[in-house]
Amino acid sequence: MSRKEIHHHDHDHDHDHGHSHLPPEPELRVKALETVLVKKGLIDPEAVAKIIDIYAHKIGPQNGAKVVAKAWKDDKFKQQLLDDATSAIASLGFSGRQGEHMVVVENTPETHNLVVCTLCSCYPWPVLGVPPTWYKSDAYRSRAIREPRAVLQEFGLSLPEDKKVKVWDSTAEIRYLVLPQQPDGTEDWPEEKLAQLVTRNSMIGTAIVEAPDVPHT
Amino acid sequence: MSRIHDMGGRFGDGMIEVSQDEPIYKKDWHRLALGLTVASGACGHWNIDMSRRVRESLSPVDYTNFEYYMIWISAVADLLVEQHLVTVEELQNPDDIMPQSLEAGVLHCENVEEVLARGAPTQRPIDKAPKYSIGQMVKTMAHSPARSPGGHTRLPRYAMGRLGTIVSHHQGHLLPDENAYGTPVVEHLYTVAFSAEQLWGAHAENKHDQMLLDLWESYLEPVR
Repeated sequence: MSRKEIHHHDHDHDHDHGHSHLPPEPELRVKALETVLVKKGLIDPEAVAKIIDIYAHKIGPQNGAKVVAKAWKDDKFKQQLLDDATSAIASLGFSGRQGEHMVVVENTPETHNLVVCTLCSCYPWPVLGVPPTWYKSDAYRSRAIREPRAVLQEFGLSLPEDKKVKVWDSTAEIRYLVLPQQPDGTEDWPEEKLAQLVTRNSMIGTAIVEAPDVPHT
Repeated sequence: MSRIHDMGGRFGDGMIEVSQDEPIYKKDWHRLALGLTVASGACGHWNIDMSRRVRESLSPVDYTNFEYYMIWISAVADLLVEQHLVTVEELQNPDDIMPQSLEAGVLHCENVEEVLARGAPTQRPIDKAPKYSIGQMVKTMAHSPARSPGGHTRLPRYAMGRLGTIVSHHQGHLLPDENAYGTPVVEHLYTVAFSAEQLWGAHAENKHDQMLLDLWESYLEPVR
């Protein structure tokens, strides 16, 4: 590790930014940065391609859906998940970058959970993959913490006044996954079929899980 | 005071643009932006808190106008210069750079899956006993705990000077306020619950709702 310690006072004045020397257009800026990193021997282009491919095909909300479906079917696993989410989730093969320290929060008839990162875009990548654009938007980051119910309305979810909302602001390296309530009438479904019902948004808390034949009210 | 990224509770951002079937990479250049950010971060020249510090040090105009991936790649360029890995002249003329062989610490293709699956845990052993216990009431610092004016911290402005209750204890974690400058300092980390009324006063949407934040011990003071 050749990381250098930086003196705090060096940052009091917001020095010249390196990025302003790259092209202003995003497409050109990213290509120029790629050239710099490759020529300086700081990245392996094949590793970059591999990372892009993994987040396109291997790491995504299908992972989190497996965790949720298993918790619905297996009380022992659900308890492990609520007690120590990091190891319970790792037991299904999901771990690592931006999910090093996991906490699972359970929706109940009394409580609805919602996850946000007001300071940046912290998100549980091993179970949900790359965050959607709205999760990183100024509107979601500024409003979810102050008016979660109005935000949920925009996602089509109306909560009764007597249901408590808990909003989790991901300010540290703890990453939150919402365990949605299992829809009525799916108790006998196999785990694989249940997993197909679980959406990304239901694991962030901007949706609930509904069985396909349950009409909207 | 705080910086532009610290937007929790801010007014005026309007409706959320909810897209149902958004592709993973919305634009072609997003792929490369993500790949470069992750790969260069795995090199070991900077940590996640340093990345965040540099991203939020963009000018408010740039931070507001840049797409999220544009913030990421711009921050990588800023870190390369700050860490003396690349010169401004090299950024201006990438085609003139003499190709160098791969650095020793570079992430190789065959290690990508393993490195991603390992991640970079921030929990660290700590000898000191925790100052607070679950159920205890605490008050957050009234001003930014950052070590220098405009410095990095993870205590959002909306939660400064507020009363909350410790609901969990996560043992020792690297303190971002120091780690963002490359100095490893370990502190106890807690989840602190605040009532909506405590944070938003008479304008709270529903006073029974709760906001929960992960906060380091030095962000907190006891309430007697």
